[in-house]
Amino acid sequence: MFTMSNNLGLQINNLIVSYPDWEYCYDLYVPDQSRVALLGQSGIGKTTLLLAIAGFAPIKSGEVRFNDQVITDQPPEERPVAMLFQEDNLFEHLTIQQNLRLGLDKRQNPDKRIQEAMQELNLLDHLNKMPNQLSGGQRQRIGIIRTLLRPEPIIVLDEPLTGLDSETKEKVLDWIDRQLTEQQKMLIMVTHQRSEAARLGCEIKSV
Amino acid sequence: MLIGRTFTPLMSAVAYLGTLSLTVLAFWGLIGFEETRFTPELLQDTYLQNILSFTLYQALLSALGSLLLAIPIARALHRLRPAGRDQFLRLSLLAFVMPSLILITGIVNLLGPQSPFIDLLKEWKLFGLNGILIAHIYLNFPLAVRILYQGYSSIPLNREQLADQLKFSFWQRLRHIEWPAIKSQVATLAGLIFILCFNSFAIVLTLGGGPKATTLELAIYQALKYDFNLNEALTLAWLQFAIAGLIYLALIYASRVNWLGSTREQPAYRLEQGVKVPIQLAFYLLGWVYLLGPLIALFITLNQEALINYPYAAMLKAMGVSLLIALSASLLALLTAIALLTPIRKAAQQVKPIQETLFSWLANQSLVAPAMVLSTGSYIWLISRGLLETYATLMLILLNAFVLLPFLLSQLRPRFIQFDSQYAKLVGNLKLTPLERVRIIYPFIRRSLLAAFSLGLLLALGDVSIFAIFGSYESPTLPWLIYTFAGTYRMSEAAITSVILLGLCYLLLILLERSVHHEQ
Repeated sequence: MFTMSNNLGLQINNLIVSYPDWEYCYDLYVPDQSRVALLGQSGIGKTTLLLAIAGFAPIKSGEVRFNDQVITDQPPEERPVAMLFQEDNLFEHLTIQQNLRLGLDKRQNPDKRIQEAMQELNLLDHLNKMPNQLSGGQRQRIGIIRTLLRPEPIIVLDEPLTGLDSETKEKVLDWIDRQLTEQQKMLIMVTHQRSEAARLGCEIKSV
Repeated sequence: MLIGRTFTPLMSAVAYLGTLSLTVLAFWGLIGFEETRFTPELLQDTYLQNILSFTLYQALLSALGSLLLAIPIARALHRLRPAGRDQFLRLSLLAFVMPSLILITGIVNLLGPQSPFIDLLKEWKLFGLNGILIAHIYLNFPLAVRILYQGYSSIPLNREQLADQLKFSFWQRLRHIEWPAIKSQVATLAGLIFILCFNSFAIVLTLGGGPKATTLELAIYQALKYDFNLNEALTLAWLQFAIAGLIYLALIYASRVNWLGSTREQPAYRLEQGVKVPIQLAFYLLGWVYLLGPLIALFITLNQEALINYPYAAMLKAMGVSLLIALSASLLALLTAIALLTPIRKAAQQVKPIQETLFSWLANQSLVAPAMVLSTGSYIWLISRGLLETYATLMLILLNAFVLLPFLLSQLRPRFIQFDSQYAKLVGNLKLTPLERVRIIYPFIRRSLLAAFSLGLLLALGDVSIFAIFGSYESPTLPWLIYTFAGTYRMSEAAITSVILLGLCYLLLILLERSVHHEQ
């Protein structure tokens, strides 16, 4: 399905993800610190590929490598991946601040980084609120902030900008772009908008 | 994965091995030793055949009676929304989880030899089938009302509107709208109540007895504790296990019924009117009278003299014993249930239905073998090795915890599964430390833990059958103290103790209901 080469970065070779009623087969190569956007029709297996990279999909055969190290059998907790799901990114019974602290590197002054990010995305007033007090778009941005602030080198975003108005979307895209550049991270993103992919300088791969 | 990658599976393995060992020990005891073994010839005995027929007969009548009373009441609650409906449903839950000896004291006060209606009950005898049926229906119809009410409440609004649009008659509505909504619950309840009454012990011990009104459980108890006929006890225990196990297998889907679930309002629909309303209200009223009658009757024999002469020291000691056993058993059951759930949750997450079912079966193994069967087997195993006195108290707690497991599992499982389906990926993705995992899951499941623990306490407080086998009669529990008082016709003392136990249960029930409601 995808082209493959043999360099450092993320390599997916003949990976077969198997569910009781269907199977997907993937080949993909994403060079280190580069950005890729996956486009394609709904139901074609884009999200499944992201889940496979993050360690949540049942693998039948094939291989996933990162920087020449095989990670196919690594559990999600050990993978070098931070993922934003389409939904359920926040624990409903924890405050926004408590949610944001999870998964962040304690040695990198997480509270300060959270404050800065929340300020930049106009969310600072919501730190002590519960997720159900926020709109869908606000929750989405909180999820994006946490994913991008995490220390893992691969950032995986599943339709991160769905439901955001155009002004907010611009702001968020700017922020994502800056974070990826500053932290020198790899991005793999599923989107339906070519413009979003282009805005982040992603190489587009059709599924 | 609640705590850590090695610790959690280890605890799970200990829980599964522990519960399996208890079953193995009980069945090892049931296999027998030397002269004690399964004796099929005993099954030819007419006396034992009569016991078996009576056990089945009373269970069948109890199930039928409970359902025939519950269906019109549940319908009235749904269609008429009568005054006092919430209180009725709360009282129903109390009646189902209430220790049976409280009820028995109330019923004996109300309809026994000291009944205020003695003139009306000249030819009528409480003890025997009558008493057993009254008590069994009392304990089980409230359960049926609650579950059937949930069934009625699940009827979609648009279906009700369609029925109105088509001008359905009362019977058409019953056939096309209501029956489809409750039929699976009716079938499940019939089986569930049958099995509960088949395995009933305390009620038959106190209100039954004699050759004409003895059940298998009672016969096992008598063979063990009075006749010391181990062969007979062992043979009957196998018979009990075979029948109860078969019925349970047929009822394997019973756990899908959410018997402790919330009974909160569904979207309101128009209330029924017409000539059938008074009939339904009469059933509802009958339900109230039935539920309240024995409880009010507890106070008939109470008077100042009885209160002055009451042995408070013995009651306090019994309360201490009861609480000690119930607290230890429910805490142990709670921890075991959490550990047992781990592989079930994992299999559910990985969509491995066979593994999930297998672990669920293993975790719920005490449902197949009734408490009396397990107690008998363990008792024979321990006594044959001269270990009974040393381990009796431990066995009392272990077996109480063991029989609580299915109830606690059904209470905890949905919330854990909900957490997993909502957050398992997120938890995995965030790479949380074991402590962080506990911090996240705990606030989510706290209410369920509290509900499960108070349910465990409620049920363990009412235990009679395990105590009858392993308990020390010199240090009785509250139910056993009631039984002792009632058995020596000290009905005032029995009533006072029952009221105290009822109060204790009511407090726990409030805790339980608040937890369940808050969660939902």
